[in-house]
Amino acid sequence: MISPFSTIKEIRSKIKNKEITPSEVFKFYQSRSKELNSEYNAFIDVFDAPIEPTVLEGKLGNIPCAIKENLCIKDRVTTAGSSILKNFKPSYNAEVVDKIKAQGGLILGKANMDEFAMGASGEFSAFGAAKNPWDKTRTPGGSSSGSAAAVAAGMVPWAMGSETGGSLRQPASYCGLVGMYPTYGLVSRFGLLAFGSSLDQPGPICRTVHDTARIMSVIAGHDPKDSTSLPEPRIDYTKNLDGRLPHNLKIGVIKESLSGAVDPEIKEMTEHAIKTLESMGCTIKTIEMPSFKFGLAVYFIISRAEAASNLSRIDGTLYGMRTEKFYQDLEELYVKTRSKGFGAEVKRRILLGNYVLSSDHRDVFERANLVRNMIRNELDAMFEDVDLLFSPTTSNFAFKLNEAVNDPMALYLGDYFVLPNCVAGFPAISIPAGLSKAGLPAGVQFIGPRLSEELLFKAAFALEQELGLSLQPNI
Amino acid sequence: MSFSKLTSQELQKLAKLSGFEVSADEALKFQDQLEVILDCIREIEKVPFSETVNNNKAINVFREDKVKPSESLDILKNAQQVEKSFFVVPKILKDHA
Repeated sequence: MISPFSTIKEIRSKIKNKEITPSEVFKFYQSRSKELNSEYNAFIDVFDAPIEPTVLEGKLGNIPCAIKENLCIKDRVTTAGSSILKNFKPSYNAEVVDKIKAQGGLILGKANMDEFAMGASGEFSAFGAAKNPWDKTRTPGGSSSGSAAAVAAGMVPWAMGSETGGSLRQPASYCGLVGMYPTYGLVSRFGLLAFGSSLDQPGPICRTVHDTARIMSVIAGHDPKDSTSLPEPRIDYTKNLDGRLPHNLKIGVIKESLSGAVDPEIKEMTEHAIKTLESMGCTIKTIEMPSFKFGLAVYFIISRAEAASNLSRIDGTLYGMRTEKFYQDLEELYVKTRSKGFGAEVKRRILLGNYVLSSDHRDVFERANLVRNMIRNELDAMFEDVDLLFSPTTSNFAFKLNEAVNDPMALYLGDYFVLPNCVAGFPAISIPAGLSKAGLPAGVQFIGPRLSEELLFKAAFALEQELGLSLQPNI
Repeated sequence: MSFSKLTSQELQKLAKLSGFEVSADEALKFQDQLEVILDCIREIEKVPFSETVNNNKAINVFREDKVKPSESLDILKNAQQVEKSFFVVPKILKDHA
């Protein structure tokens, strides 16, 4: 039959060679998902029948996937991991869902996530935390926790996630998978329940770079329904993946990659990856990005301000839960609904967002936008000198569940490497770099200039082939 | 910059702006947790600006002002209370005391 850890490429090849039928593929993943979900809680909902694609063939023909719970699927409950939307059924599909269906993709279920994409562990989901398939006592990362857990456990070959400040790449790193944050604006946000509108991007979590390139070829491209969508046509990112690198590719290793703040085993994996790149003909240069140390502060300010603004639409009037049938007035409806329906992390972020947006503190928000430009300018300048940046994706391995849930700061300190490119809207891709002695995966990442996805895929694919890893948990 | 320690009055004011209630217990916890994050945000004061970095290249995106068909009644499906094509909500204006 097939291994649950098959790639999209492998499955398609087996179907083509008639070693397995499309129906057998779907039933296999569906029954595995149903069987394993009580253990890993990767899915909020495993469907009894797949969402019908609009065409049967296509780049994703007959391949099952999970869709993160903040992406709208018409007439299917879409909660964004929150109890405030527990019966919400959108009247339209997210653009990426339509694109997946138009290439034959089969949607098997909705993946668990931190509430409104606010979290880095999956523990802020109203539906219970997803568990890391490499170690069930640990988080798979977040906020795309279920997407990563589902793919890592072989419940689906790939999943859609989303990222605002690390929510794809951090889980990819923690689960031994490939995750990509596209150039801001490359993938349509239409139908993605908004968290930080100037930061959010839907993106794929897959087992391999080639699979990731395939998904990006399907979901990227201009959408007039999203006014922040870039006027880029769709490209086939799988075309030039031949394992070779452009001649004398210049890689800038971010200085902190090999510092004491990074777990020693991750440092070792990063050093090994760097040596591998050197052996492949790259020029390696250690570079400093002085503005990166402000990445967390800028991200806090802008993302919380945008979250507070975006979530003010969730008030019980038009959709979502209400706590009772009768209220004195509209204000009581708002307050009772939001007090009961939002979890603690969402409330913290809205409070902080309103803090930085209030008239007493508006200089904070204004300053954060200036620093954001500074980070962008510094990246643009650095890319005159090097072709790509390189670093570990996370400075730590997946942490234990319940370790950080009451200490919000601890959750964010591991995000040093993933935040600045999101703040600036630059793309990045994380690939697995190895396993720790305790059997936990970690990833390394390339960050590229805006719209450099082709180069990112080429470099990531070549490194992935040289590293020759094939990480599968013992399930 | 205005960055004093977050007081409980300020937290309650923020809660009112945020449209939800924060109990006394929650308030204490939130105050401590938010204070830690505010400490991080205060770092932004240290950024050395030699000149204003205001080269935001954002552009406005417009579309033609053309009416397109839409399935407007679909959106009533998610409402808790509907009457004909209206969303039913509680009284908007408060009574005078």
